[in-house]
Amino acid sequence: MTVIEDVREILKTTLQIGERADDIEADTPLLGNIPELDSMAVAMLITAIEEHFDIFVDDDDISAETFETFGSLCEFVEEKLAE
Amino acid sequence: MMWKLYPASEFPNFQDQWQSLNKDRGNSPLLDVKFILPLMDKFSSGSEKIVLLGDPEKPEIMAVIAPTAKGVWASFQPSNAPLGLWLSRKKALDIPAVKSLIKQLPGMAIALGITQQDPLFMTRPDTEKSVASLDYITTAHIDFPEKFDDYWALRSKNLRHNMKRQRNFLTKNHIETRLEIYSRGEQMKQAMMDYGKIESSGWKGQIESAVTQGDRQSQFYEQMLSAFSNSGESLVLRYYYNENLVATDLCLLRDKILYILKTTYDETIKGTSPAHIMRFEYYQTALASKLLKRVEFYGPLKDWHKKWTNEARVIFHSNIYRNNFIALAHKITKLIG
Repeated sequence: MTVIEDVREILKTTLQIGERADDIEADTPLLGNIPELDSMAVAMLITAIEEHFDIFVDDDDISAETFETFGSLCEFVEEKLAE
Repeated sequence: MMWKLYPASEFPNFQDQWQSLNKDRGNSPLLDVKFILPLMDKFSSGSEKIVLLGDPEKPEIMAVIAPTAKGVWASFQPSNAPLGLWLSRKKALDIPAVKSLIKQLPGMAIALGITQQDPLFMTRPDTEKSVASLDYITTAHIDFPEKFDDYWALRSKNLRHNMKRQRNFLTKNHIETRLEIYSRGEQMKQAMMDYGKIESSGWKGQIESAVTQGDRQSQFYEQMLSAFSNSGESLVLRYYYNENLVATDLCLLRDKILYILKTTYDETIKGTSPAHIMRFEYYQTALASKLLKRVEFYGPLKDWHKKWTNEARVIFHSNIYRNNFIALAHKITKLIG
């Protein structure tokens, strides 16, 4: 699986959004667009990403822009993996 | 740090360990196995877990927790339990240990709430990025001096006058009063029947939150009070105006501390407060017999508490998060509005 597919799967299970996850594209907005993505879900999402990709996410690494779109989230993961 | 998790149904197998921790932490009857077993029997949904840190024979921490939302767990907290079911050998909350528990819970757990903790038994943690320390309620207690008269002399003139006025009202209207105490196991069924009758006829009955005969709440109190009666620690205060039962308190009495768990009174009574007269009389008698030194209310502080005592403390919740992301996530989602 690619990073994009892995992140899609994490979104699907963490937010429990079922098949809606399949329609998400790179420019699909996340924050403000997916009602399930409240603060608790954001925290769960970061934790799940950290554990799945075995990366360390620091507080300073993330901001609202990270969750702006599905593409920005995937980009963030790719950058962390490249570190 | 390895935690062990067991289904809640296995609690009876761990009652000695629980009891030993409770004894180390203040020996409150509200966390005694005689309280917890009926509580779990009547209110457990089956999703709760017993969690245990350290040697299973002599654990450092033991708790009963349950999932409350996706990714969130909390100490088991039915409304009839004044305190959350969390006990630890040390008074300070071990935050790293709690975080390690969160990681070992089934599913992706992100937070654990340790609810309704008494500062007498647990030191309140400071709020930081991954810990939220929250006020729950302010609860009152009375620490009595040796003599009732010394206590009463310190109460306001208004309260003293008011209680005297009520006494005079009863005398003038030829109402004879009588305090009766139930403490034997076989009396608890009747105690709960009478309690339910009074409470369901009042405002709680109208909003269907009253204890009613045979319901789960009633069964819990009957079972729990019967269990404590074996050690002489159950106490049901019952107060009569002539032949009518007009007020009753369900209590536990341990180490000369009276824990008032639930109270009800006949709301049709005008001109007097039978529950207050009942307690006045009990405090007076119990202090004279050296049976009482403190009263605990474990309920939200009301104006009437302030008339009977100047002492109160804050019961708190502690929410522990798996990592610091929750504070960050709050900030991020707030930006979106």
